[in-house]
Amino acid sequence: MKVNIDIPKRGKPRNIKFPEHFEYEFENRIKLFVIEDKRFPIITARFVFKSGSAADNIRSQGKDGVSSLTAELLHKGTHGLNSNDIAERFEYYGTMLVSGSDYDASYFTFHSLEKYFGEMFGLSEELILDSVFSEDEIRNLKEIRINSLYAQYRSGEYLAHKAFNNKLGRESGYSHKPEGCICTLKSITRDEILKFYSDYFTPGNMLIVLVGDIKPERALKLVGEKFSKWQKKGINNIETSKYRNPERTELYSIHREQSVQSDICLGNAGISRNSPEFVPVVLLNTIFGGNFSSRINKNLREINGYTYGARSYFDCKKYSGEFLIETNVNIQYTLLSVNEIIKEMELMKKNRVTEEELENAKNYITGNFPLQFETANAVATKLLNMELYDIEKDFYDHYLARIYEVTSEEIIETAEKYFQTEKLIIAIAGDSEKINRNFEGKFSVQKINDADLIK
Amino acid sequence: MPKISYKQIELENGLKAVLSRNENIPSVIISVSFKAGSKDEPRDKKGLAHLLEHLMFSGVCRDNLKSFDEILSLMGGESNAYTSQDMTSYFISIPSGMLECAMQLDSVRLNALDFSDGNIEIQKKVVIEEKNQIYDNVPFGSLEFEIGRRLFKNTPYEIPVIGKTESIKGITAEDISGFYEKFYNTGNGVIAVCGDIDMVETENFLNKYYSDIKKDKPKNSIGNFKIEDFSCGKYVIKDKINLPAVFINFRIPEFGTVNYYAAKHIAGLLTGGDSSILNRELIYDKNLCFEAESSVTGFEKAGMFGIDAYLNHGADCSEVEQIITENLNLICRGGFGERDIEKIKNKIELSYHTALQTNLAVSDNLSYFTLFTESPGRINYEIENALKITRDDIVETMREYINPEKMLILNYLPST
Repeated sequence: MKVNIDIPKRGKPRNIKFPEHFEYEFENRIKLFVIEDKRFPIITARFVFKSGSAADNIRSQGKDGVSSLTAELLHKGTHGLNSNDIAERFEYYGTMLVSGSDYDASYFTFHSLEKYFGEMFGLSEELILDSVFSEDEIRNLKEIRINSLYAQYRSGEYLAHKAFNNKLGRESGYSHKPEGCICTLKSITRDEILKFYSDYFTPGNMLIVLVGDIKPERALKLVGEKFSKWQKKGINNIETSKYRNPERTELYSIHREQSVQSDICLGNAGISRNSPEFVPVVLLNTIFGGNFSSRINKNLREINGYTYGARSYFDCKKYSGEFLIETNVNIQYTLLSVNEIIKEMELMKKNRVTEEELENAKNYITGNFPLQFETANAVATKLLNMELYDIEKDFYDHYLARIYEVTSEEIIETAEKYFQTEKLIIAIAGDSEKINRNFEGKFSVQKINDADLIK
Repeated sequence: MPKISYKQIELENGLKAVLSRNENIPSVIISVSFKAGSKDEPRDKKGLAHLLEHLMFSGVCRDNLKSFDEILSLMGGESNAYTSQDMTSYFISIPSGMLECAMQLDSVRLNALDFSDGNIEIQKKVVIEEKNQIYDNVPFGSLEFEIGRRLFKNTPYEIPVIGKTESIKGITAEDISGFYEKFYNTGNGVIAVCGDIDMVETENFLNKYYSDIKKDKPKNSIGNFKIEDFSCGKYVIKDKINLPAVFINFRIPEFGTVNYYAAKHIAGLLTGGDSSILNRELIYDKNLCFEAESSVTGFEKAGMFGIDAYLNHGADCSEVEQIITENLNLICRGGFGERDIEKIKNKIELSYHTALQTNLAVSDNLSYFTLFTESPGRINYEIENALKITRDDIVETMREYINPEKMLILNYLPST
């Protein structure tokens, strides 16, 4: 049915000021951020160290997973408490605790009721400053992690992304997932964990973000009491890590017997988060594959019914990033889907987007922007990202105005630069027996049989 | 405890609506829900409610914009939907200034379904790929089907919402419009509008745009059924997995009963964190598992309690089952302390506050409580129901329902 709705022209959007927050840097260079939200009697504490899995192999190769093991071990024992005592202490108060690593940071986070926050914060100080990293706990954690990875190695989505990441990352620090892989985990020693801890879990590398029902004065006092005496230590910058496109397209096929679908991961090197091209990239991606009504989803799902959904992402990390398209398609449409995706990439470079399509994307981004600040924790994530990725302080204050200024020429230029259709990495987890022959002669196809071989 | 303020109204055609104002961000959620889920489908048309949900997005166009989502995105909005066993909900998120446009568009699509064969065929293919992606092509993907056909045998909860591939293929345009006509009416529906709204204006918009939803009485598609009708016992299932897993399930009473909330406490005792009984023993003390979790599901007319244990390489299913059984017996005998109960209540309190921080969550809760309980106001005292559970409630629920004699055990073993 045709609808006749007058949609008011939005015009140049009003900028939205970044939500108010408190910021302070201690003498030992710990940075504190407080985002107060009195609506709910809960507080989240996020302790973040600005080094993650990209730093795993700085000292020696083959240590994928050392950062995340180190971060997780923070709540597995101190001189005074064993892992069971620690779990019991946090959980009795209903507190939720998680620690781990991402590519560019390691974190220790807890969510607590306001009434128990003081106690939880004190306990966290003990864990962060006084962990013992015992051989027993290391063995335990490795066993859990190795079994969980072994189980995941039957998930096509996991395998396709692992292969994609690995082949595009090549020898960079971003070539492996933060959780590591089975054989590297086995080789990591206690000394290496201790070294990682002393290199990177330092005041100069630390951010503390307190979010929720807490006043800046209280935050300042607590952090001052617990962390300001921690001996000052420098910031550890790591080597730059870059994704790199191959000379010509490479296709990796990960065999899953009798798979009814193919899990496809396809893409190129993208941009780092603080790149000046971030804004045009957001628009390009929104039009191409960022939401339900963007081109690849319309093509693969709504017109052809090959898949439940297709999306694209510019996954921007600190030193580099990936541009990837992810979809799960019926096995009989594997080649057709890859062809359609590449065709859509070509079209973005060949034809200018219409003014209507551009306006639609701008309105979508502008209209959905406030949702990124809906909860105090979402604001905290934005603040943290500004610190982690060196984004200028007033970035979000001008973000919408910048979105509004992007032209269709810039979209074409950006697509030409980042949609390198001759230099793709394509990873497909599916039934190789059925799909590989379709790709032969078109791409250089390499078959991978064992998940641990993707390294 | 902080309260969510709301106003419940009735539109001119009798449709219920709930408004909740919150100026935190300049954005609004509109959610339209109907008490119509997979349990309300004819037995041989499983997957119908969910297929209808897919079709609700393709009936409108405006100039070059060919779908609901494209028009909505021009307004700066975004949409989504879900179908459960008991209900179907459609959400729109929209900047506050576009509320009227979005409601106008939403009301048109509610009455303008594209039931053309071409459209139905494409969406059937999409739904079958959804089933492939979520169930058929992933490790343990068959679990929900394997539990359902035993635990809810011969009940409307037997088949998961997505349906079976064959039955999805067999659904006709008549089936879809029949279901739509029967359930998408005022007696079965509710609209929630939450966020940065003007109450008076929003009430006017609601009457202006949603008054042509068909006026009808609520439809009760199924009666009550007995909780005893299910097969317990132990079954072995081969799957394309690397490591075995044990899934233990029980039938429990429906959402809102004392037993339902007591079951949430039991889940906390068993697997709520590293210090819980099963996590401690299975993962840390005996190194048999790398993950253990339990869950409580409350439908309108039935409920389910599940324990999932994922085994380490070389560990034995029967040993894991035995440990779980021993611990269930321990709780049956009241072998837990006051401290354990306090711990769970603290956890429930934290998750309650965490869960209501977005307009989307508030609108979903208000809609659910309007359709399935006495009042949307339950959003503010639902937590009391959970917090008043006593030791006796827990022991009684264990003895009556979560009792080793009433277990359905599924062992998933690697096929190769």
